[in-house]
Amino acid sequence: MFTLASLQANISPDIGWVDYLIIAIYFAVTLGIGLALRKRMLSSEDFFLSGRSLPSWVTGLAFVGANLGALEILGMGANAAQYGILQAHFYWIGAIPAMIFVAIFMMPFYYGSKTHSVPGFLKLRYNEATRGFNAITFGILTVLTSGINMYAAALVFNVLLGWSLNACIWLAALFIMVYILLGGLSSSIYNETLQFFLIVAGLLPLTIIGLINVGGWSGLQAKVNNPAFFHLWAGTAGSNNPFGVNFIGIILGLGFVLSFGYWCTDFLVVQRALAAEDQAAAQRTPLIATFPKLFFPFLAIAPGLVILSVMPGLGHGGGFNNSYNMAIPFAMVHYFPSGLLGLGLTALLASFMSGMAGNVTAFNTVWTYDIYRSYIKRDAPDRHYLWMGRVITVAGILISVGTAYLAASFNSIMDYVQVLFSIVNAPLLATFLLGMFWRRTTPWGGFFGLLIGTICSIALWVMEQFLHIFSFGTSEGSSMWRAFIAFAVCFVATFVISLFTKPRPETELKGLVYSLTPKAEVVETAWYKRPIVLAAAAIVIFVVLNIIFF
Amino acid sequence: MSQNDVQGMQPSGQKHRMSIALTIGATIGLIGLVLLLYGLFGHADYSRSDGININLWWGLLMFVFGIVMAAIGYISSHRQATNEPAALAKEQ
Repeated sequence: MFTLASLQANISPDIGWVDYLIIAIYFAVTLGIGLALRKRMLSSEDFFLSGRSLPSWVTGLAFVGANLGALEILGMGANAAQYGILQAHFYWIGAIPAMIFVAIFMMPFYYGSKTHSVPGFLKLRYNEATRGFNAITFGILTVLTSGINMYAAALVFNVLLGWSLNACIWLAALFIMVYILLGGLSSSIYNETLQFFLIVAGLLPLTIIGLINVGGWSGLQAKVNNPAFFHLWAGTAGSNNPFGVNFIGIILGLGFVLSFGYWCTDFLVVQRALAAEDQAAAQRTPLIATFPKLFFPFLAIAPGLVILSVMPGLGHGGGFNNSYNMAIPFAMVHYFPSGLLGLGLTALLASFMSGMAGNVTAFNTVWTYDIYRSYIKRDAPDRHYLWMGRVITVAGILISVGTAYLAASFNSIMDYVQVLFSIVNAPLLATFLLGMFWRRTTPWGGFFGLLIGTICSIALWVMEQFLHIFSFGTSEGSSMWRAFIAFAVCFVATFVISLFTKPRPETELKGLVYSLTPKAEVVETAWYKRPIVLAAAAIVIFVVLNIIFF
Repeated sequence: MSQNDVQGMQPSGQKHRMSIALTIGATIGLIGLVLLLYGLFGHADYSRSDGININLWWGLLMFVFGIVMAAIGYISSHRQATNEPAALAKEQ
């Protein structure tokens, strides 16, 4: 297992009983939270939306925690090793504007319409068909992503500690099943909040030791010896930079379509805000999440770069065991003594768990409300849907185990995720923007626009990947372009079809379309809680960081 | 579509919330304590971490952070509990 990498550096783990003790504490706490929450799961809303009762700091940290699944944790170290500080674009331009936008402009509609899910919102704004279509594509997306998370998790523990791949997958599945069955979305959200703190606690010492070890920031620059790795924008006038994309591509592809598509329409993150206690708290949720997001690159980039200086052969052949994805796990094993290593492994475990659990809780809500209740069993008592939610949790996890083995057959799991994303989320963004800001958008315009956009994206992928008719360049660039084209096609199709079909009467669109919704009179007593203050603070930090690392 | 029929759980949210800070604070504090004690009495290979007893210092930091967080959670959940009726009346 280790041969390739272990030639280059000491990556045999210094692991002892204390490490297993720390992992055991994490498992015990997680199950304890589930048991404590069990008594509160009285209605379906408790199970699926935490009774809409959580404070904004919890939903805000869960919002960012749900986003920090296995792939993101592994991916951020991997990208840092591959692209240097350019990777911070995913956290700054690729997240902050979209998060502020969803908070200020979209959250009032999501929360205000009292919908239980993103497909639910589509039904209110468009029609049953649009909702059904999105529910199905989103359902497929979540079980596939959840499986990939499970596979990545199992792989890391297989490589680091030599645990069997099958045992890892089934153990993780069983554990997640128990705690979601007990505590529903609350379990998942509490875990994401706990996981957020664990990730910071597990990664920050890695940054500190790593930087001390190479002689600080300037020492790191000297060791890496690649100035292009230390500038955000300076090399982006052309495409001659580690990304291979110029600044227009970064701003439009990453900063607009990919990030707005993800943060504004992905039910996985939106669900966290829907669980907030009131509309003001729902609006604050993405805004609070921007602050950790702004500082996350510092936790990821340093370890990713430092490990490059220790293991220069990383990412050059050898499959997953020696891929950039292992940058952070290897850095932990290399720098952490027994004790702290247990904490680092717990942080990784927690992120894998919450990545999977987040997908499973989003999946069970969409299935139960948007598919089962709409098309299979309409007027059952609430208890029945609560029961269904639990049944589908078990089913969803079993399907995820299946997709975990499916993911095992793909070369690059990160590319796989980007493909899924450009197919499901990118066209959906156009449907949402038109629906929320243009009252003339018609139900059938929305449905066919989304259908055409999605089919177009799938067609582009098949033509490029399997028929080799054309090529958009690197896998990153390819997904960015595919996402942008799918968005544009959906936008134009929705627009044109809307001109020829009948819109819904304006009275039905109140609270769903921007121009027809009266401004909410949420009066915040505390100035620091006002959305505009939080958004402004985030923008100032965002601009300053971009200037410092220009 | 509306879910008004299942919103009867709203008030329990208050107590719910503070137990989160308490639970998370306690967990972080406990892990910190384990690291701290291991840093004091255990034998780890500190050549990995540049000769720094990182277990001791990071454990101490986590322990203090966890205790403070748990204390804040505990205090505000108590304040919440005593102010509950008044707060609810104000909200409505």
